[in-house]
Amino acid sequence: MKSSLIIITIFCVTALSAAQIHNNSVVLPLTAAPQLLIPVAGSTPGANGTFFRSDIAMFNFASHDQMVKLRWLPGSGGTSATSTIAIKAQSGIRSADFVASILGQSGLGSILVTGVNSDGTADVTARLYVSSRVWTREPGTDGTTSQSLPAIPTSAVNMQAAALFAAGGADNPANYRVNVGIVNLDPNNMQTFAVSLPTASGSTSLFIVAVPAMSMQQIGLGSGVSSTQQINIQNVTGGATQSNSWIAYGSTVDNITGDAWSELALAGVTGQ
Amino acid sequence: MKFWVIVLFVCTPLVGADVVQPPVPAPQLLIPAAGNTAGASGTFFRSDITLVNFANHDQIVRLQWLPQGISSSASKMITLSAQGWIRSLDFVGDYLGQTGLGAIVITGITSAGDIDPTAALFATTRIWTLQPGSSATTSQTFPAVPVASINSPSAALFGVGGKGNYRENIGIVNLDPINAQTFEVGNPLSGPIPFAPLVITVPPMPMQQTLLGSGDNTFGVLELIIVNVTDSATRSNSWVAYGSTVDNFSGDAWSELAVVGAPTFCCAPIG
Repeated sequence: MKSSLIIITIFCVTALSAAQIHNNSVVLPLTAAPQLLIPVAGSTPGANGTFFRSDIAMFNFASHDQMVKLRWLPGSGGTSATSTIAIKAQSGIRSADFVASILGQSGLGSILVTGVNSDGTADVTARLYVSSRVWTREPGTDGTTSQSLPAIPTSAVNMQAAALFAAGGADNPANYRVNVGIVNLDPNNMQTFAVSLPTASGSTSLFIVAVPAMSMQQIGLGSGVSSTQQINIQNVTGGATQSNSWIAYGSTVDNITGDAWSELALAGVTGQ
Repeated sequence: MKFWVIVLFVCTPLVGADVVQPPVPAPQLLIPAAGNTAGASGTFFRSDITLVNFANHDQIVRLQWLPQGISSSASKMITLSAQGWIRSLDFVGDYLGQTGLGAIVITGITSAGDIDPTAALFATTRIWTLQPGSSATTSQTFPAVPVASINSPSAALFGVGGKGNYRENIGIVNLDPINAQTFEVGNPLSGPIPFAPLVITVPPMPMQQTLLGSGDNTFGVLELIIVNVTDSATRSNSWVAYGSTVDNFSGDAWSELAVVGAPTFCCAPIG
């Protein structure tokens, strides 16, 4: 009954919030922006002797020195924090453990990267570029395993619903675990999401995830998720507090090697 | 699934033209690197590719294989049902019937064979291999690039290499249908890291992947600039470049698309 109500709510909320359809957009794969979101970063121990860190490179493409505010959006149970750094004109920094070394934080979270003026206001002339991956030493070897996830210009974040298509391992699904992460960029309101795994028979596994304002939440869907399983994420927050300022990602991890890959959830399509 | 996609079509707000990410479907996509090829030490690399048709009509899709180093017109047609999708662990072998390393141009077409501007295609892709001695995998992901967005006078890579034992590759896909393009790949910094500029010529419509180096901490903090130095009469901006870093011990790997319009940095970046 509860699931049915949630599904009905999903439909109603989505239908009520029909949005403008634009012409097919031309998109550039990567460029610089005044404000970026790194969806997932960390400095945190994992299973089997692993320790996950974020290798982050951050560059200032502008021809002026840039103050950059780094806001840590914590995962479950963490505390928000902000640091400010300066990056010289057309220069950059790179750290193999950015969360601990630059932010002084631990755990799992997201990072909001904002170019700011000397008075702390947003600098619209900022041109920041970030590359990011989460990595760990592979236990018992001298090598690493890692997964990368692109940084997102926050100006592009505008979601009502999203979907993942490439989760799970096709060769042997039982060997892989699947996680879904959601970052809520609404500055004031907690958002509630329904993560659903519909099947051809009509049955649906449903996970309800509440994400506090300006934080992220990663949930495990377990191992054995089919490689042809579409995963749907819908904001089911009720009333006037529902926000489109969120993104979601999927992460699939090989349970043996730690091999992993991520995908940003697909928000929508362009009409003609 | 069809219901879901219809809901997305009708109700989802869309990103603007100046938006770079999150991803959106497009009529024509480029997968910069894919393969079905043996690697070193018992590895065999294949491409795990998901291809989604977001249109509410069946879609004929042309898959054009751009093999490494040679021009080719090899292509296959498939049909995706409306709001349908496929996923293959060995897309290059299973759907294209090809081997080796290359790029793939994915085009929604009409029954007359023209580009279908109503096509709404989305792809995810990763190259994977079983890790020798285990039943598990290592892999690296590549984003698919909407072809309409490709306009590269020059580009740069920033996340190549790292503090460890890695090998670094650069790949360039030339989408000009007629003219070979010549590129210079260089490090603009006069720093302690030895890297002589490379000249790479890529024939029309293939891709070319080149090893930059291998060893400890080779390119961890470098900016690599890729400049098209083809004669102006035949120079084209229809190309993309990517960097690929592979851990020499574990096979852990990551990729990045080169950034268009990046400045040449004036001073040594901070490690």
